[in-house]
Amino acid sequence: MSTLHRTLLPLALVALLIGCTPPLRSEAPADFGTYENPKSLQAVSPDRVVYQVKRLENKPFADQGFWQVALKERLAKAGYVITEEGAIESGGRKGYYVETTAPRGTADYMYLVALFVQDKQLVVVESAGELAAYKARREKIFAAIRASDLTGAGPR
Amino acid sequence: MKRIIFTLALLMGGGLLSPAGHAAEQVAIGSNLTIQVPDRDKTAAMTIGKAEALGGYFSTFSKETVTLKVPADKSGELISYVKANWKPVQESYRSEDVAPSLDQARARLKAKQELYAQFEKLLATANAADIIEVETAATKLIGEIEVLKGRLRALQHRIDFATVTINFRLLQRERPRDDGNTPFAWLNELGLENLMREFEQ
Repeated sequence: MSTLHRTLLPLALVALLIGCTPPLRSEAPADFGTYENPKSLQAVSPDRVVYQVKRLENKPFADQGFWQVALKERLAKAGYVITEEGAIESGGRKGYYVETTAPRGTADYMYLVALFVQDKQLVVVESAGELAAYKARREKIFAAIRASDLTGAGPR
Repeated sequence: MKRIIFTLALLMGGGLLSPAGHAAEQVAIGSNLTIQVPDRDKTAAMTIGKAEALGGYFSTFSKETVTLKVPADKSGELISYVKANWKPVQESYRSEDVAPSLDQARARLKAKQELYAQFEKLLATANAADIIEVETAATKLIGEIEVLKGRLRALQHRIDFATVTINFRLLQRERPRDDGNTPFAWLNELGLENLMREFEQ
């Protein structure tokens, strides 16, 4: 093996390993404009309903059940009013969502967090908007979550 | 002929020929509740559903208020349902005795109907010129009778159906404290304000 090969081989392996992280193939909700961002998918509707999908490190490592409880408790303790929670599936993977309301300025907002635990990674979907605007787009937001293949960072 | 019509109208419209019977207690009930809710739309849907189940309906519906009409004897049940499900922060009740208004409208209607009957009798004996005069007066009278009938129906409806007005106040107006005091970094970064800020940058 030549010196060049000896140098390039480890580099190639490192590059391969980095490339192994599959892309986060998420769909933005219909009628939302998408922001290009390598770390997350960000989208916004004309009436300022926002949608974001992020992949984070599952650290400290815990399972879906643990993070569900921790998420709900974190939001409730912070003062969010939980209006709905439940199971949600995306790309065959079971997740959890919690919808809350909270005042922002003089308006009432809805704030959604959906969570999918994938071994060493967490996929966190957040969406928020003024109450009426959010509600008008709620179905499309949920459809986008369900339609996404969250096994995989970055917009599709 | 004009004198006859005028005298008849004076006698009956003035109530001289009207009955003076006062009905039993006839009360229109109105309730006004302000409740704290986590979700206005969901609360409105639930209260409207309950009103419909009780044989009522909603008469107005806005972002802040829903006005429900339920059979008077069911209004207590609706109010109990609302108070059991949401925290009332303000409540007021009123009852209005509409019997005087009802009696007055009934009496005026009866008088006008009797007057109309007189007109019909006059028509039988009137000549061609008088017929036009009586018919004009009768047409006007029919209009007045219909207005009174409508008023009577509205008054009776106020007795039969209680009005329950529900005002919504969002559960709390305090901003969430996204100060991040959990042991988990990613959870601490979550929050409505943080999310919105990411899009406003």
